Amino acid sequence: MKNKKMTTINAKTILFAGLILTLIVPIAGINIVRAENNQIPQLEQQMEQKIKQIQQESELSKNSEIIKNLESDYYELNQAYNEITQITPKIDYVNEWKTRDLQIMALDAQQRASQKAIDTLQENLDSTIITDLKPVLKEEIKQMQNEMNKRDQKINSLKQEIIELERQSIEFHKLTPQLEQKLNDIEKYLSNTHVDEKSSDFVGENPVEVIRIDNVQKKVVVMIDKERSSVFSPAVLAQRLVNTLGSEYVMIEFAVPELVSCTGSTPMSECRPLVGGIALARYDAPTTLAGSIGYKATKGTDTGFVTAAHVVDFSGTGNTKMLQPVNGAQVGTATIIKQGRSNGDYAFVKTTVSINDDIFINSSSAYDIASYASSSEHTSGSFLYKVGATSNLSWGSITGSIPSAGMITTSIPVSGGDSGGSVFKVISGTSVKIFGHITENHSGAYYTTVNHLINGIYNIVPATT
Amino acid sequence: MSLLTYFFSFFSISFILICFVGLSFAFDPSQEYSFSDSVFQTYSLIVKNYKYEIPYNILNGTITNIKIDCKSVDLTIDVESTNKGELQIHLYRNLIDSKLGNNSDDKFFVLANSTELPFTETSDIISRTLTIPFYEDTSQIKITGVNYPETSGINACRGIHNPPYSYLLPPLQQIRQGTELIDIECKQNLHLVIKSEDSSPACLTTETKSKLIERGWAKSFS
Repeated sequence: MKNKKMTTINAKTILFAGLILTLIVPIAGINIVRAENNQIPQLEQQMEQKIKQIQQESELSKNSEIIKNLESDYYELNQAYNEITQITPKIDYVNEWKTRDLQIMALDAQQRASQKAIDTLQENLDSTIITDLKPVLKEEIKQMQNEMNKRDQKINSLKQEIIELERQSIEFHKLTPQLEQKLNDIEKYLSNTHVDEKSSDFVGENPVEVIRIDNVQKKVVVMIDKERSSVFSPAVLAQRLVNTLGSEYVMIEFAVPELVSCTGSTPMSECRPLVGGIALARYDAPTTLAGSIGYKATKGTDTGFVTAAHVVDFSGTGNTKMLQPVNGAQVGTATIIKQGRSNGDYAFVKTTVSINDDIFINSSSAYDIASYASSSEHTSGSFLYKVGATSNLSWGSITGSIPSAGMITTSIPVSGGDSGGSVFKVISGTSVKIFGHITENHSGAYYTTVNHLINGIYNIVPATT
Repeated sequence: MSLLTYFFSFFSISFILICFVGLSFAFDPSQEYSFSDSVFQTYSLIVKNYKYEIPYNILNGTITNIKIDCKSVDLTIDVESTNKGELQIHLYRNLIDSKLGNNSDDKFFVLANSTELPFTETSDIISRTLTIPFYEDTSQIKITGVNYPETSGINACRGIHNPPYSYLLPPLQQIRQGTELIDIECKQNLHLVIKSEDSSPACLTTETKSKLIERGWAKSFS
């Protein structure tokens, strides 16, 4: 279990989300599909009790250790509650769709092969002078055509299933007008009270930074500055919400990003701990931007980061030491440098300073690497993001693959200095899945997959904690 | 040694010498002539101020177009294939190459309709020759050289006048290709002047340039 950071992966986040959820629970539900499960009232009751205890402790003894334990208890209860109340779809629509799409592609390939075989048989049939052979060839063609018809039917049925999945997905994610109104009301209330300094309802200095509605997950996401999160009470805020807007089922997620301290608002700045996407320079050329950090990784017992080999040693001068940022301090030494396309253009830099499993967003927050892609996930059309020192955040989709190098071609725009930067998919909020690191630019980035490294002889694995 | 053995020895040595001299001559860049091997066809590709000759041989197909993206180091070949086939193509290193930062050769990637194609390669200091088998449904073959975001375009379109591989176009042709007057290039030891009568460009030797300017037929370009 992750013990920090953002969105639903974060223990505190789920706790707080649940905290508010439970305070609002007693009245009629809007967006939560109730499962026919008699555990629900019991869980609701238990969660309510925990909330009361947390509130009491927060207001009276303020003993952080006790509060922490109560929060931990609450988290467990809330997790069970979420599982049985189906706040997320049980069907993974995207994966289901992808599976069928791959089946269609395979069937299409078989159809093409069969058509070629039929054409050849037909040619033989037309040209043969052996009379006995003709019925045999005709029968063979007939059988192959039957197989093709069956495959056609299968393809059509799969296409229908995809349409149905899309329909279900749209239906599931559709907001009712009431819920949409509710989410908007909450967003407006929170913005007025916690973000908009010009509003007459503004509560003054507080740690809420950003508020947004997540239509897919049907919730309001509240981003909180971690540095000041200790002075913030979601329970009190929840009570205010209930008092002001009434009590209903609405999920509010409190995302507490890992504290990243950067000296500036771009990835060119100095960041400690280190995160993916920020600027690197070589020890032998300290004033020149060499590239970017890819992602936190481990090699055996060593911790460090992955970047492109040409970022570490461009001209074959033997450089291994890396600085962050340009003209900055040494942050690590490359222990693996695999130059060239045949090797996958990657390096592992063992760090001497702290590094997070995060990717740069701004001077104080970061995406959290929650997982990494499997080798079958680098499929054409997949929509991906990248963060690099020069062009920061950009996006595009996968256009093809180069298996011999473990590389993938994309339409993601990149600039000089982005080499080595992180390529990833956003799973939810700021939780991401890492796909690889930038290596080349061909009217769109090439990236080397995480799987090329994981399956390589050095067993370099992306770190998710 | 019999007369026959002498004859064969003489014949073999002569043959090797002829081949060696012939090949040396054929690849001598100082000689101004075109590729003349009957096995190979040549595609002329004009990029900026230069015409590059690309010798190739294709089995079961025809090349309908070749273009290059100099910034991306991507050479795209449009193919009309009639069956499974094979393309053998000579790539002049100054047109497209695939080198690492330490100047050593790295491999090209060859993609057909976004899927990697296996190929074989031979090379020398001037060119690299790729032999690429392709499928019946291949309509486009893309050859990409190493191109790091930090050194974009360094492996492509390095125009120099080096017949028979690449030719600097005459000034008027450069203009027709869309080159601005300020970007017109002249061969070594020639200087750009502007014809007084119609402001057209010309490349002249120092001596001729002085004479023509003196007579008012041309003016110096600065």
